Amino acid sequence: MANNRIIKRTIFGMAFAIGLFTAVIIPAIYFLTAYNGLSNHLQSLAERQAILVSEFLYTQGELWRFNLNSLSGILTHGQPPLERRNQLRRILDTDGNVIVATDVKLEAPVLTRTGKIGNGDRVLGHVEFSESMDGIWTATGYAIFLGITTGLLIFLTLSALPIHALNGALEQLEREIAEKHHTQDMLRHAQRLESLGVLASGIAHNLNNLLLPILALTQMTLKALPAESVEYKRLEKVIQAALNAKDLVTRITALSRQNASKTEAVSVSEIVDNATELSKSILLPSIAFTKSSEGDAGKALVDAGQIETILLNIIGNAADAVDPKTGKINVSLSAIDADETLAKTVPNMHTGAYAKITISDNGHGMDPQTLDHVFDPFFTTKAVGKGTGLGLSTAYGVLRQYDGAIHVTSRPGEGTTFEIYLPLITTDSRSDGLAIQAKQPSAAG
Amino acid sequence: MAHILIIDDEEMVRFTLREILESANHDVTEADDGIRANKIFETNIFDLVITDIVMPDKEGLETIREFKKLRPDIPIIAISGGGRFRTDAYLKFAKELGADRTLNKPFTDEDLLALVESCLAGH
Repeated sequence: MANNRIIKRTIFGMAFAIGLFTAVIIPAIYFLTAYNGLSNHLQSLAERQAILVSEFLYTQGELWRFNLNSLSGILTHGQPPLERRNQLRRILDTDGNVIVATDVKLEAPVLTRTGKIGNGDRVLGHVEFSESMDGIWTATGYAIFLGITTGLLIFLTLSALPIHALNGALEQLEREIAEKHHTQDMLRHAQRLESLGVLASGIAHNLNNLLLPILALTQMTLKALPAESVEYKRLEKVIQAALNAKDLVTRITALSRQNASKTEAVSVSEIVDNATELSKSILLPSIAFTKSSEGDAGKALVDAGQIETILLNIIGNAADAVDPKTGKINVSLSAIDADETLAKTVPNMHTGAYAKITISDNGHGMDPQTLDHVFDPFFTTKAVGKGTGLGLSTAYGVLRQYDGAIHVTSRPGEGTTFEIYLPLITTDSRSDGLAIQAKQPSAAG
Repeated sequence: MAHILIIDDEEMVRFTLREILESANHDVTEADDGIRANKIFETNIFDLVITDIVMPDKEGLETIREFKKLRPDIPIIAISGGGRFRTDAYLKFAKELGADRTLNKPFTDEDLLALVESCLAGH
């Protein structure tokens, strides 16, 4: 009996052990293995994404810095390009708290800094996040990301700050972005004018070839005709038209610095004096025309005639823009020392000594669209036949020829101000004539 | 009367030059680029060469240099309507390479004939 009991207990124990193992241990092991596997998988996914972001931010920091959409794409989908921007993802802070939930709009991230820490490289940026209330998104905070690379390992850290904590830093960042955009705009504008200049030189070459037979053969034919004949008078008109076209080509070539000029050291004050004196004879007496200058501005290495023509042109434009009865035009001259800020603001400008000629009027002004095209060849707001659209584009080309610059500010109804900058001959450059010459457009090639 | 070689890739320009020069009783031979001009120049005697500067295949500056090597005494007039660089730059190079006179396009028949006569007279 006792043996039977022992056998029964043993069987019961074994059955219990097998049951326990089957019902609890195996599922528990299975569960733990699966959990670990899933966890590892999620972790590797997160790491991969972090590595991707870090690599992008690190290797293409400057590129992505202002390419907000692309960076946003990396964060939202793990890889560019960004096609489904409205899809959202979660971002966790360093403690694992959700700081950007799936129902929160992810704004464009901004990389703020790249640099080296010891042997590693780091990237720092932020993501703006917002909350939706009845469809209206309000910015509530920022996720800061910091990526550090140490050899093969790349870590990405995310943390969050409320919006007010970063206000100052972001304002600074916004200023940097605006400045960068402004520089890019200036560069684009300069490139556009440069390419138009190249185009103009090609057109000029072809037009000169076409004008040669028109002008020369017509003149030869003219000689064979009696001066009183109708044909003679008609061909005279052809020659006049060809000469006008030749003049137009000469003006176009000034855009691409093709024009021959008599460059010499001349007093900028004298140029301004001559231009203003000439202007008085063409302006209506009712327009208040004033001139102010702060002493002798110095000398510049230019063709005085070309600069006078530019000034006359701008003063003429001002006269067209102002009210004939209440119009005011002022021309002023001063010597300035251009600093970094000015050099960044005015296209083609560098730091150094310049003569600054300012022509301002109280005319109807220009809107931003007009202002953007004001130096484009053949762009004119004047009536057909009243303006060629070459005056300011020629001014731009000529001033570039002398390493000078031109800048315009205007608002509708508030008048227009043109600033013309001519590099002054300094004592250093005066003692080295070759250096001055070297600054002129090279004829090589 | 002189034998003049004119080199220009534009047929209209060559025609115009021929008309002007023949009106002054000169003999004219044409070439439309530097390569053909070289072959013609090696087998003919010319009193004067008028060449364009900007041409495809072989441009005028090289032609001027080669002609001056072959015949240092040959007078050459370089003509140009400009190109990537300013017209006077091309013509300045042409002078440095040996061109005796230069002329900007477009010009009149009188402009060209005055230069031709001056070159032929050895001035």
